[in-house]
Amino acid sequence: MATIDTVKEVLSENLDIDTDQITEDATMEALGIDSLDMMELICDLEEKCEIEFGEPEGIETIGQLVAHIDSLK
Amino acid sequence: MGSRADIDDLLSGTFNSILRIEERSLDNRLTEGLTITEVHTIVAIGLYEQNPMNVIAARLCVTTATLTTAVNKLEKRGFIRRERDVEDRRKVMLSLTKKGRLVYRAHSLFHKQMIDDALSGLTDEEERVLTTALVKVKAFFDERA
Repeated sequence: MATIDTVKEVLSENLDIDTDQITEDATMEALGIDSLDMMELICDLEEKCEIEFGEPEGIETIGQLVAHIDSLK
Repeated sequence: MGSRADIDDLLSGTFNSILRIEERSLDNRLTEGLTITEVHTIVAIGLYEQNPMNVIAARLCVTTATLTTAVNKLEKRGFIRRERDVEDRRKVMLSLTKKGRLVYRAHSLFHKQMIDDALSGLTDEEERVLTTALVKVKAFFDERA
Protein backbone atom coordinates (compact mmCIF):
# COMPACT_ATOMS: atom_id res chain seq x y z
CA MET A 1 0.00 0.00 0.00
CA ALA A 2 1.30 3.50 -0.88
CA THR A 3 2.16 5.60 2.18
CA ILE A 4 -0.45 8.24 1.35
CA ASP A 5 -3.14 5.53 1.34
CA THR A 6 -2.02 4.29 4.77
CA VAL A 7 -2.18 7.88 6.06
CA LYS A 8 -5.67 8.26 4.60
CA GLU A 9 -6.78 4.99 6.19
CA VAL A 10 -5.53 5.96 9.66
CA LEU A 11 -6.93 9.49 9.48
CA SER A 12 -10.36 8.38 8.34
CA GLU A 13 -10.46 5.64 11.02
CA ASN A 14 -9.18 7.80 13.90
CA LEU A 15 -10.58 11.21 13.15
CA ASP A 16 -13.31 10.52 10.63
CA ILE A 17 -11.66 12.81 8.06
CA ASP A 18 -13.02 12.55 4.52
CA THR A 19 -10.29 10.88 2.42
CA ASP A 20 -10.94 13.27 -0.51
CA GLN A 21 -9.65 16.09 1.69
CA ILE A 22 -6.37 14.26 2.42
CA THR A 23 -4.08 15.47 -0.36
CA GLU A 24 -0.30 16.04 -0.36
CA ASP A 25 -0.85 19.82 -0.12
CA ALA A 26 -3.34 19.69 2.74
CA THR A 27 -2.01 21.11 6.01
CA MET A 28 -2.63 19.38 9.34
CA GLU A 29 -4.24 22.59 10.54
CA ALA A 30 -6.71 22.70 7.61
CA LEU A 31 -7.66 19.07 8.31
CA GLY A 32 -8.29 19.88 11.98
CA ILE A 33 -5.44 17.66 13.21
CA ASP A 34 -4.17 19.09 16.52
CA SER A 35 -0.83 18.31 18.14
CA LEU A 36 -2.18 15.41 20.24
CA ASP A 37 -3.96 13.92 17.19
CA MET A 38 -0.59 14.16 15.44
CA MET A 39 1.09 12.12 18.23
CA GLU A 40 -1.56 9.40 17.85
CA LEU A 41 -1.23 9.47 14.08
CA ILE A 42 2.57 9.02 14.34
CA CYS A 43 2.26 6.05 16.73
CA ASP A 44 -0.33 4.37 14.46
CA LEU A 45 1.83 4.96 11.38
CA GLU A 46 4.89 3.54 13.16
CA GLU A 47 2.96 0.34 13.74
CA LYS A 48 1.39 0.09 10.26
CA CYS A 49 4.51 1.09 8.28
CA GLU A 50 6.98 -0.68 10.65
CA ILE A 51 9.19 2.39 11.01
CA GLU A 52 10.73 4.41 13.82
CA PHE A 53 9.38 7.88 13.12
CA GLY A 54 11.74 9.73 15.47
CA GLU A 55 10.92 13.25 16.60
CA PRO A 56 11.22 15.44 13.51
CA GLU A 57 10.09 19.07 13.62
CA GLY A 58 8.32 21.16 11.02
CA ILE A 59 5.96 18.61 9.48
CA GLU A 60 2.99 20.75 8.46
CA THR A 61 1.50 19.05 5.41
CA ILE A 62 0.43 15.52 4.48
CA GLY A 63 3.07 15.57 1.72
CA GLN A 64 5.86 16.30 4.24
CA LEU A 65 4.57 13.50 6.48
CA VAL A 66 4.51 11.01 3.61
CA ALA A 67 8.01 12.07 2.45
CA HIS A 68 9.40 11.60 5.97
CA ILE A 69 7.90 8.10 6.28
CA ASP A 70 9.16 7.11 2.82
CA SER A 71 12.66 8.30 3.74
CA LEU A 72 12.63 5.79 6.63
CA LYS A 73 11.60 2.75 4.59
CA MET B 1 20.86 44.46 38.02
CA GLY B 2 18.79 42.54 40.58
CA SER B 3 20.06 41.53 43.97
CA ARG B 4 21.25 38.00 44.77
CA ALA B 5 18.10 37.49 46.88
CA ASP B 6 16.02 38.29 43.78
CA ILE B 7 17.93 35.67 41.80
CA ASP B 8 17.29 33.10 44.52
CA ASP B 9 13.55 33.87 44.33
CA LEU B 10 13.64 33.76 40.53
CA LEU B 11 15.31 30.35 40.40
CA SER B 12 13.14 28.62 42.99
CA GLY B 13 9.99 30.41 41.76
CA THR B 14 10.64 29.31 38.17
CA PHE B 15 11.36 25.74 39.31
CA ASN B 16 8.10 25.56 41.30
CA SER B 17 6.03 27.07 38.48
CA ILE B 18 7.41 24.59 35.95
CA LEU B 19 6.48 21.70 38.25
CA ARG B 20 2.94 23.05 38.65
CA ILE B 21 2.52 23.62 34.91
CA GLU B 22 3.85 20.13 34.18
CA GLU B 23 1.41 18.62 36.68
CA ARG B 24 -1.49 20.42 34.99
CA SER B 25 -0.29 19.37 31.52
CA LEU B 26 -1.14 15.74 32.36
CA ASP B 27 -4.80 16.58 32.03
CA ASN B 28 -5.15 15.40 28.43
CA ARG B 29 -6.45 12.20 26.87
CA LEU B 30 -2.97 10.68 26.36
CA THR B 31 -1.59 11.11 29.88
CA GLU B 32 -4.78 11.24 31.96
CA GLY B 33 -4.59 9.21 35.18
CA LEU B 34 -0.78 9.17 35.30
CA THR B 35 1.36 10.96 37.87
CA ILE B 36 4.36 13.09 36.92
CA THR B 37 6.63 10.40 38.41
CA GLU B 38 5.03 7.75 36.20
CA VAL B 39 5.44 9.94 33.11
CA HIS B 40 9.10 10.53 33.97
CA THR B 41 9.59 6.75 34.40
CA ILE B 42 8.18 6.23 30.90
CA VAL B 43 10.45 8.98 29.51
CA ALA B 44 13.52 7.45 31.22
CA ILE B 45 12.94 4.15 29.41
CA GLY B 46 13.39 5.94 26.08
CA LEU B 47 11.28 6.15 22.94
CA TYR B 48 12.82 3.18 21.10
CA GLU B 49 15.34 1.90 23.64
CA GLN B 50 15.51 -1.40 25.46
CA ASN B 51 17.19 -0.97 28.81
CA PRO B 52 17.77 -3.03 31.94
CA MET B 53 16.23 -1.95 35.26
CA ASN B 54 19.49 -0.66 36.74
CA VAL B 55 20.05 1.77 33.83
CA ILE B 56 16.55 3.24 34.15
CA ALA B 57 16.91 3.42 37.96
CA ALA B 58 20.18 5.35 37.56
CA ARG B 59 18.58 7.76 35.09
CA LEU B 60 15.81 8.47 37.59
CA CYS B 61 18.14 8.51 40.62
CA VAL B 62 16.00 5.89 42.42
CA THR B 63 16.73 2.38 43.72
CA THR B 64 15.78 -0.63 41.59
CA ALA B 65 13.30 -1.62 44.35
CA THR B 66 11.47 1.70 43.95
CA LEU B 67 11.57 1.35 40.18
CA THR B 68 10.17 -2.20 40.32
CA THR B 69 7.02 -0.99 42.09
CA ALA B 70 6.47 1.72 39.46
CA VAL B 71 7.23 -0.66 36.59
CA ASN B 72 4.80 -3.30 37.86
CA LYS B 73 1.99 -0.75 37.81
CA LEU B 74 2.88 0.68 34.40
CA GLU B 75 3.25 -2.78 32.87
CA LYS B 76 -0.18 -3.81 34.18
CA ARG B 77 -1.67 -0.69 32.60
CA GLY B 78 -0.05 -1.42 29.25
CA PHE B 79 2.56 1.37 29.03
CA ILE B 80 5.69 -0.77 29.46
CA ARG B 81 6.88 -4.11 28.09
CA ARG B 82 9.14 -6.31 30.22
CA GLU B 83 11.18 -8.97 28.39
CA ARG B 84 14.10 -11.27 29.14
CA ASP B 85 17.36 -10.26 27.47
CA VAL B 86 18.06 -12.68 24.60
CA GLU B 87 21.78 -12.77 25.41
CA ASP B 88 21.51 -12.95 29.20
CA ARG B 89 18.26 -14.57 30.34
CA ARG B 90 18.76 -13.34 33.92
CA LYS B 91 18.45 -9.75 32.78
CA VAL B 92 15.04 -8.06 32.42
CA MET B 93 14.80 -5.43 29.69
CA LEU B 94 12.22 -2.65 29.64
CA SER B 95 10.79 -0.93 26.59
CA LEU B 96 7.73 1.14 25.74
CA THR B 97 4.55 -0.18 24.17
CA LYS B 98 2.67 1.94 21.63
CA LYS B 99 0.62 3.35 24.53
CA GLY B 100 3.85 4.22 26.36
CA ARG B 101 5.32 5.88 23.28
CA LEU B 102 2.20 8.06 23.07
CA VAL B 103 2.85 9.28 26.61
CA TYR B 104 6.53 9.89 25.78
CA ARG B 105 5.54 11.97 22.75
CA ALA B 106 2.84 13.92 24.63
CA HIS B 107 5.42 14.79 27.30
CA SER B 108 8.00 15.94 24.70
CA LEU B 109 5.33 18.05 23.04
CA PHE B 110 4.45 19.68 26.35
CA HIS B 111 8.10 20.62 27.00
CA LYS B 112 8.61 21.96 23.50
CA GLN B 113 5.47 24.11 23.66
CA MET B 114 6.30 25.36 27.15
CA ILE B 115 9.80 26.48 26.13
CA ASP B 116 8.56 28.02 22.85
CA ASP B 117 5.90 29.99 24.74
CA ALA B 118 8.16 30.97 27.63
CA LEU B 119 10.89 32.32 25.35
CA SER B 120 8.60 33.97 22.82
CA GLY B 121 8.99 37.36 24.55
CA LEU B 122 12.81 37.33 24.36
CA THR B 123 14.95 38.79 21.60
CA ASP B 124 17.55 36.50 19.96
CA GLU B 125 20.25 38.24 21.97
CA GLU B 126 18.39 37.82 25.27
CA GLU B 127 17.87 34.13 24.51
CA ARG B 128 21.57 33.71 23.74
CA VAL B 129 22.63 35.42 26.98
CA LEU B 130 20.10 33.43 29.01
CA THR B 131 21.38 30.15 27.53
CA THR B 132 25.03 30.99 28.26
CA ALA B 133 24.23 31.99 31.85
CA LEU B 134 21.99 28.97 32.49
CA VAL B 135 24.64 26.55 31.19
CA LYS B 136 27.07 27.91 33.79
CA VAL B 137 24.55 27.94 36.64
CA LYS B 138 23.29 24.42 35.78
CA ALA B 139 26.85 23.06 35.75
CA PHE B 140 27.22 24.27 39.36
CA PHE B 141 24.00 22.58 40.49
CA ASP B 142 24.69 19.36 38.55
CA GLU B 143 28.03 18.99 40.24
CA ARG B 144 26.42 19.13 43.68
CA ALA B 145 23.26 17.16 42.90
